[in-house]
Amino acid sequence: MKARFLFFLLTFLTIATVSAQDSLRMAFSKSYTFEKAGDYTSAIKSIKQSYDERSYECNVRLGYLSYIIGGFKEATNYYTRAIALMPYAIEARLGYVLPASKLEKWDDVLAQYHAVLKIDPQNTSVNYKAGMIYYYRKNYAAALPLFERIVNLYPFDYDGMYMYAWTNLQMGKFKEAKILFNKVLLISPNDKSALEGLSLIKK
Amino acid sequence: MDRIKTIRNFALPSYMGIIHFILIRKRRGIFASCIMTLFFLMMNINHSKAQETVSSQVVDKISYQLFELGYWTDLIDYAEDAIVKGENFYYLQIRLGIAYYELKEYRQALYHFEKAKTLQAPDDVLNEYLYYCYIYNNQYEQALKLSKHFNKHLLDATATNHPSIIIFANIEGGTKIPSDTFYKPMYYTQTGLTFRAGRNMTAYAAYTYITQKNYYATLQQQQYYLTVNIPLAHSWLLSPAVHVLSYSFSEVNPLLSLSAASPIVAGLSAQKNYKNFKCEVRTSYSNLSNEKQYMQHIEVTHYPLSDNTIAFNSGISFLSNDSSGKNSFHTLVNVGAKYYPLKKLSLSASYLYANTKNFNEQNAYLVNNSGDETGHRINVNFDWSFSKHMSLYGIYFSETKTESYTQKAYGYNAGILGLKMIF
Repeated sequence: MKARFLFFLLTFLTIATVSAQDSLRMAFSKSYTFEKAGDYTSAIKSIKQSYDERSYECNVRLGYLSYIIGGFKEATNYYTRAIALMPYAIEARLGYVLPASKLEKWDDVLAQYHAVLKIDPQNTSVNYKAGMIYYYRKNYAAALPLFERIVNLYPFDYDGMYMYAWTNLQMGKFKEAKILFNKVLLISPNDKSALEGLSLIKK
Repeated sequence: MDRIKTIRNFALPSYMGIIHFILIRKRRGIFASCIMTLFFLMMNINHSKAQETVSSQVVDKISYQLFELGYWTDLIDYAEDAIVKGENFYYLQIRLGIAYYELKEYRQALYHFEKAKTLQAPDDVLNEYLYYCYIYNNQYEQALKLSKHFNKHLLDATATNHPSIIIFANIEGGTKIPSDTFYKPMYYTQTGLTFRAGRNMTAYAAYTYITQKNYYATLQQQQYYLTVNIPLAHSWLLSPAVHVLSYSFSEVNPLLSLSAASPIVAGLSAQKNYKNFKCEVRTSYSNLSNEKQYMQHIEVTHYPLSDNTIAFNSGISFLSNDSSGKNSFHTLVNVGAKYYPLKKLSLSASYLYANTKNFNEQNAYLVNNSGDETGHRINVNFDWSFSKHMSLYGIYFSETKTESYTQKAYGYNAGILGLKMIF
């Protein structure tokens, strides 16, 4: 009797799980079709119909689609849930910073960038973006190691070298800045900004 | 309410692509501007259409999408920003109003619904939202006025076919206990009725009886109060009021000559609601203590949460007392706060600095005609709706007084309990 009950229970649970997965797969499929047609509202609604708040995929997808239509606060909510579900994933954190930067929540953006750098310290894009925020805030001491890391990884990269040079200049490290601006000119020989930087050093 | 959530626009413009906008930032020099532009370009590399010009069609499209998905806070951010940038059309204001309404910020919602009304003749959807906003913002007269233009369908939906004549009735009683043995406790009772006066207007009538035994006589005072609330355009409410007092003395000390009198207080109040604020100006004339008083008052109430949950008010009054051709001027100040910790319970507290006598409060509703000056008063109230049609309220206040002949300071502690029946 007990064995029969367990058998029926297991069968029922298996059917229920398969059915839920099928339903979610259908929802994502529909959502992609709507997205392709440019109907973002329906793309969101398709996912919402099968929404499971414990699903990382649902939350990331809704975060992305909400961001696309300008629902920045909703997008940050979905990404926050996704981050909580998979804290070691950098994907949701990088998704979060998109709506957060639209909302000008720069402290939140920086917090996510630092969290990403803890997981993936060599992430060039994040090092650069975090460095830019610090540079914009005139916190050159914080920006410097981030740009330095990019230059160490990509010594012949224009963006990293350019910002590293300007950050050195802003910190009064003229000797280093001069060398770095000259390196920028090797990448981009007539670069106006690098020439401007060098002219400021000569003064 | 589900029906009115289905609002759709006249015609959705054809799909315009992925639209994003970058919030306008202050330019901070060419270099900073260049690097920030670069930064944003990098961040939005996959969304390069972000910087498309914000046009009415784009605003319509995005606000409709946010509306359809119920992204209320995003819709508010987006639409408010679009309005600041010069966009202003009927459906934008309605969507914004609905977003605030859904977040229960009824004062902001009302503001935007009223704006929409100025842009286009209101339809049933707008009228219904407006009606409920007036109700939730305690502007019952405006709701009644609006319902005059409802069609049968909306009259049925809002149950305003035959609005009740009697709105509420109250009965209350209490006592004021003096700190000085010169006086005995004052006993007070009042009954009042709020009723509809015509299709739009409401009126409140009250009768009050007071008795107090003093060292020089026993006072008996009857009071009759009537005010009418007349809704005007643009959320203005005009309220003329009259308060007639009639007092007499018995057991009078033979050394004194006290006579009965029937002074009156006539007041006029005009109040206007604007977003999270209510502003009220009042003026009154009275002939208390055989003198003439002219009083002007201005009061501002702030609802920081855009609903009635919390309210802070402050007011200032200027009293001119004309006694035998001699004028004296006094300034009175009051502050207060009201809070709903529960949906059916409100608590409020207020403070009054008067330092004078012969003044009135709340559009002639409260009349201070005692011969003794009132110094300060602290007041705390509660109001508990214990059933759909009944509420119990209580008032406690403590005030300082100065005896008119001896200049002796004393005080009162008072407690009032009342019952309100809502029809």
